[in-house]
Amino acid sequence: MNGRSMPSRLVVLLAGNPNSGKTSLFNWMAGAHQHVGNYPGVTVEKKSARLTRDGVEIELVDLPGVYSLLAASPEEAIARDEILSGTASVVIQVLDATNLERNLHLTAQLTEMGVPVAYALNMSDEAARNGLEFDLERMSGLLGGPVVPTNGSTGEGVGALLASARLAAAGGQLCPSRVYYGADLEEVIAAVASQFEGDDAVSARRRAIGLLDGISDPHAPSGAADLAAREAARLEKRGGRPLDVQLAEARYGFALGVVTEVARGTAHYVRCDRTLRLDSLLLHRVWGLPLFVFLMWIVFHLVFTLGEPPMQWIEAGLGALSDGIRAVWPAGTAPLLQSLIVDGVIGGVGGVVSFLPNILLLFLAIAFLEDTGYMARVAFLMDRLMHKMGLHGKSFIPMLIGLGCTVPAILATRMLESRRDRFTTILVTPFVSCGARLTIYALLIPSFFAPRWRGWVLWGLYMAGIAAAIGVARLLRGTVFRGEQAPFVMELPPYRMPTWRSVAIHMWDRAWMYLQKAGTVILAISILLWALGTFPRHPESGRHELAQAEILEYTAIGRIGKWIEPAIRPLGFDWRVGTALAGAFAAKEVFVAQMGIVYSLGSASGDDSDSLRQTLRLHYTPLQGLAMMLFCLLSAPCVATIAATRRETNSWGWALGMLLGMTAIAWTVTFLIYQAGMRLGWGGF
Amino acid sequence: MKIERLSAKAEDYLETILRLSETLRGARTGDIAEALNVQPPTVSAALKSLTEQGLVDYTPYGAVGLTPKGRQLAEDVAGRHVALRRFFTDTLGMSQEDAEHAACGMEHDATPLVLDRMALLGDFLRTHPGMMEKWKAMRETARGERAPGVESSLKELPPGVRGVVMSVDVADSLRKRLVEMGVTPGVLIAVERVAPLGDPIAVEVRGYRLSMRKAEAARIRVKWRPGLI
Repeated sequence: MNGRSMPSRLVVLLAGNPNSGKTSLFNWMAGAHQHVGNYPGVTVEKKSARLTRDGVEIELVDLPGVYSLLAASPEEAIARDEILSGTASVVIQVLDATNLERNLHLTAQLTEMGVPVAYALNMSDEAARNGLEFDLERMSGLLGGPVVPTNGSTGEGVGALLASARLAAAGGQLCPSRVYYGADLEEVIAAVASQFEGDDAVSARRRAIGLLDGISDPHAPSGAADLAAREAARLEKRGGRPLDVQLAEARYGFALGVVTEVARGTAHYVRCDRTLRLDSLLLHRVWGLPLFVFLMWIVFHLVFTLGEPPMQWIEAGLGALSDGIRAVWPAGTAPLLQSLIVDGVIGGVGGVVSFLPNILLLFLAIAFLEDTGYMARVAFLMDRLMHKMGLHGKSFIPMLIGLGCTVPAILATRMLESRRDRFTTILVTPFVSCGARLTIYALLIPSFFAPRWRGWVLWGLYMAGIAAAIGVARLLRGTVFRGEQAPFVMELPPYRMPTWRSVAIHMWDRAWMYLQKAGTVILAISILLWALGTFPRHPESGRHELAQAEILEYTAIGRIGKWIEPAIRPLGFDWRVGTALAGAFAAKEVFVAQMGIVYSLGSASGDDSDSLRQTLRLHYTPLQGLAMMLFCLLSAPCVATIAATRRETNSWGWALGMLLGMTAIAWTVTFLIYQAGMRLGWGGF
Repeated sequence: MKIERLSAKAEDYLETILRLSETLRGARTGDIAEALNVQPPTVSAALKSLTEQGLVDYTPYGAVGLTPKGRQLAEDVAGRHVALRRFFTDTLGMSQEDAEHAACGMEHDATPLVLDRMALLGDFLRTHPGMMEKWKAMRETARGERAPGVESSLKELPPGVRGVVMSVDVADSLRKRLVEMGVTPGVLIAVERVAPLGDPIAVEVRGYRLSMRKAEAARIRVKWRPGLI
């Protein structure tokens, strides 16, 4: 079926285990031509590139890294579907030479797919340093496809690999199934395969093995499914263990057989290598956790301290641009357009772009931690704690990042493999107090609390956020995301020094996705909020003596504030607070600015904040102040968070559910605290 | 040069006679029977056979003596025994009792080449600075002598002891994940370390590291095996 002699267009799929160095080989082959997107319907990254070699157009697709093609996870299902879609001319499997046995387990499944396969023996230089050498010719014979040694950090062998892959594709030679499952199983496989009448031999065999392995195949003839179920039960009884275990044993038997045949040199002992020494330190019973806290402090510091100056430059630049436009704008002409451009568009773009330094640095740190192999150790170290909360060890990093900003934190949940873990983490991360909420605390705490209490109130707010995250995580686990916990069966890859090139590409891919997708939504909603804060316009808004507070009161946001006043009165809030809260939906720190405007103090930055604090002290009690902070902590996250949630869950339902759920929780908790406080007589000034 | 080898039983007799004949009392049938833990008539029959082979000088009710050929063979066996025992105690760090027992079992099969290489290995470790200490440290972390053959769950396998997976008795989806990662019956596995907070564990299997929770490890049965993975 692949007998084309001179194909003018080739589809080359890159398959392999996670950590096999697949992506760096892809980067070498694809260069600047790559394109990153998502597979339709799921948030699994799809990386592809279009190249031309000797007049042949090649579409190169980097499949998700998988350990198996049994379609147990979305990644596996995608890899399997892409390979079987019929468009693939050739599959290149990237094999990690230092971990050949487990990598060849995937090969065992790949050879059953009925596509030509070429092999990249990656990291063979590292294996050689460990004393392992390979008989490539023998290996090629055993695996039924060309084997090319490659080096992901230098790009060595990449050209030869692509050339071999093209030859394999042009030859149209199918890689025959190389696994022998034993006489009993083979007999049953043949019997089940004979039921697939419309299929060719390779496909029938594959689907028969799939049925016996317990993979659902809705289009299988009922005869085949029944026979497979019957025979599986018989063989399980006979073998004394489940059939999927017996099949895996045979595949690993194949893998071990190939390794024994082709690898020469002293046996590779895991226990004597560099990774063991590093783990002895980084996972040390006593020092492991302090070292981890220190490394996380560095990451946090890098992201939010180093990112601060460029963030301010961008904001200053956008401010200067706005001022420039205002200055050159012909006075009196189209003031609304000016406001749209300056406050709506530039303000909205600013909201997207000013996050960029933080996000780039964050993705840099994550890419580095992932590519070195430490990220898996983080999950290993934190799993016990996070497991108690109903989360996964890997949920820790997003929540930590959430202390700085929720948007990158939600993007960082991509590390989590299980959908349940990932969604739970996305939904609880906004409870962690972000940097923007700190500006609210910084305004309100000194307004209402004596200096000796301030630290405690701040600490209490952060703890309340974490407590809410734990509570909601457990609640979600018990209801929506009920069911067996995702197992923590995870490879601890060897430590490797990533190349800057691969880290930079890794970082840029993700940052670009953020800009493209979350960015457009943030921009749109920012313009909407601008409109709400501008319309309807006060009939006399052109007059200078009119206070900003009156203009704001007249607009939709002002009206929303008044309209929701009955709902928020039991929390101790008046319409002014309501207006500020509505504005805070754009970004939490807007709360401070809005409070400044409603009390006619202009923008509440710098010297003005003290006078605003005095005004607040006159109008509200400490209990009301606490209620405001609590509400800001727990309530609807900002627009950017909603956009990121929509993006990462691929559903408006979850994003809006988060919005409503958090608002409901915030209202209930604030209501209880405020009313209890009033009853206890803490409502005075 | 071809070395004439006797049966293990015959070697035991020669070795015992050699040892006893060096005492004042000499080697007597009753003493031989006692030393080898057999009945006196058995000893008589064996001695008769050894006499026929020209190895033993035997008269009923008298002391048993060795012919020059018998003495040479007996000394050879005794030498192998001593060499093995010394290797076991000095190089492998086994107790006197364990070493004696192991030497008795292996003395008949050890070829001169094996003994020579064992001695060389011992010399190598002793004459190269730090080698003996490293080997001792590795030996102690491995704790291989502890109860080989014991069956337990992977969770209870002490770090450093390797085991053979007997069964993976977990729910469907998780079992698939474990077996595709290479945790199949018959594979060698060892716990490398436990996380500082006490839950997940890191294991070595098929030449790489895998982590899993104790809840999962509790469902994997292993048979302990001495030595390193």
